[in-house]
Amino acid sequence: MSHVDENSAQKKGALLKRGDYLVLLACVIAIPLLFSRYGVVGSEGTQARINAGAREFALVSLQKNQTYHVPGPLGDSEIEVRDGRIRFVRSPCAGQQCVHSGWAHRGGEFIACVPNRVSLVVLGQGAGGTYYDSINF
Amino acid sequence: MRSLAILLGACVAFVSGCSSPPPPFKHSTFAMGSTVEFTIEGIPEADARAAVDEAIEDLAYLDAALHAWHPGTLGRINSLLALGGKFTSSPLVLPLIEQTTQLSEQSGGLFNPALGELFALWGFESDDPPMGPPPSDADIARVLAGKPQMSDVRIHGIELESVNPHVKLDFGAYGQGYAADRIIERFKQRGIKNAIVNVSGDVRIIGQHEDRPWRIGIRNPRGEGVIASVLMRGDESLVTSGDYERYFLYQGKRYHHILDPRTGYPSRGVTSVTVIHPTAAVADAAATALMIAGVNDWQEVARRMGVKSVMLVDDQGRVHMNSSMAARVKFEIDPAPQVVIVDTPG
Repeated sequence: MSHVDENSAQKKGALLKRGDYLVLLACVIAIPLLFSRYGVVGSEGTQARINAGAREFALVSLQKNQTYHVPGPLGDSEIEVRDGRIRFVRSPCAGQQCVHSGWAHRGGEFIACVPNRVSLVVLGQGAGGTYYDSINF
Repeated sequence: MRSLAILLGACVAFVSGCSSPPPPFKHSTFAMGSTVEFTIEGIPEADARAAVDEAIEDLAYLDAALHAWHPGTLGRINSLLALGGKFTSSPLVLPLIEQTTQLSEQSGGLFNPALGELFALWGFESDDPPMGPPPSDADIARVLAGKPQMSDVRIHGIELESVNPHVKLDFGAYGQGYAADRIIERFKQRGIKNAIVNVSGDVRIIGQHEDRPWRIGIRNPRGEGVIASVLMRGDESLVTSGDYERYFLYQGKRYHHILDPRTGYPSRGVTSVTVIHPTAAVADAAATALMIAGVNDWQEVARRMGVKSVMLVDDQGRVHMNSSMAARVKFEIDPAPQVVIVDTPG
């Protein structure tokens, strides 16, 4: 390596100082957070709101696999969260249309068990994160 | 590297600064025998909440008034229609009878709210869906022999009479769309410019979502989730009727709630019909009629009912639609279904 090349390498090493690395690190952390916070990215739901009647029963994360038992006038509706999706697994209603609706995962998707007065809606993050504003059925 | 710090700092400030307007106010509840969802944007939350509270009161009133068999306005009218003779009607119901009579005529009788006795025979008028078995052929034939039509109901000023004792009014295929229209009118009176009202899947929208149209998903009639989406802005409705909404399975056969007035049995061949129209009430009636009309006759019935944008999904999963609808539909399933474009004559 020539003398000139060594100087050049030293200069390059000085291009970024410790403070610059801190700024870069802050940006690497902050920008994805801000995007997700304000819903700029993606339409996959991150949460779901489960309602029993007109009241919110739970706001659940779709990142955490879990089963919920939601009481209604006919008994408990069983709702499952798995791998970022949510569905009715079991229902005390006669028609079972809520169960047959299968999985929901995109922001705005909505499933209801009318006889048991239990419903769920998938929520995206932030104002722009909901893919569907409403579901026609 | 001060310039790098400034640049990246500006990026962060830009992203956080362009975030902004609060999310729309959303509220869902159960009313009119189904789910109802409200979305309101662009006004303070307290005002949106007040508008929704008022709408829920309106829905409770409409539900009580328009239920065909419960004690209430329409229940009383049905009792009096069966007796014959003139009687004074509620002013709420007269315009509904006028419009549904016109729609029934336009549909060639495929949309027939006078057939309440048939709906009751199947049990679909109940808040709890029936489990089967289906009614007997003899009972169905007996009800159809009465030939109840909307034209049997005569309006004399504020008085009503029926020339056919078999007429029983049931606005089930119209009332939820009508309710969505009523609520949107109330929202407009309150100065709300951007909103969605979804009554049992019948969607009426006004305005838009921030700087983009509202995106409405259409339920997949057989698979999971959403088959397609439509972007909507301004003032219009999107209504779907399907054989998956209210049905029972009996001995492996599906019996759904959309009954063909010609046979007395559930319609066959089409699993769902989606209609875009300015008002949800007309879209609701049309979706029912077109489901019964089927893949061969829907274009002609749509033309007579003044409906321009229609999509049918047949029982083989094929999508039939006119180019007006095709221009607005985006399929959300992969692979996309087979599509047949048929333009409405005239």
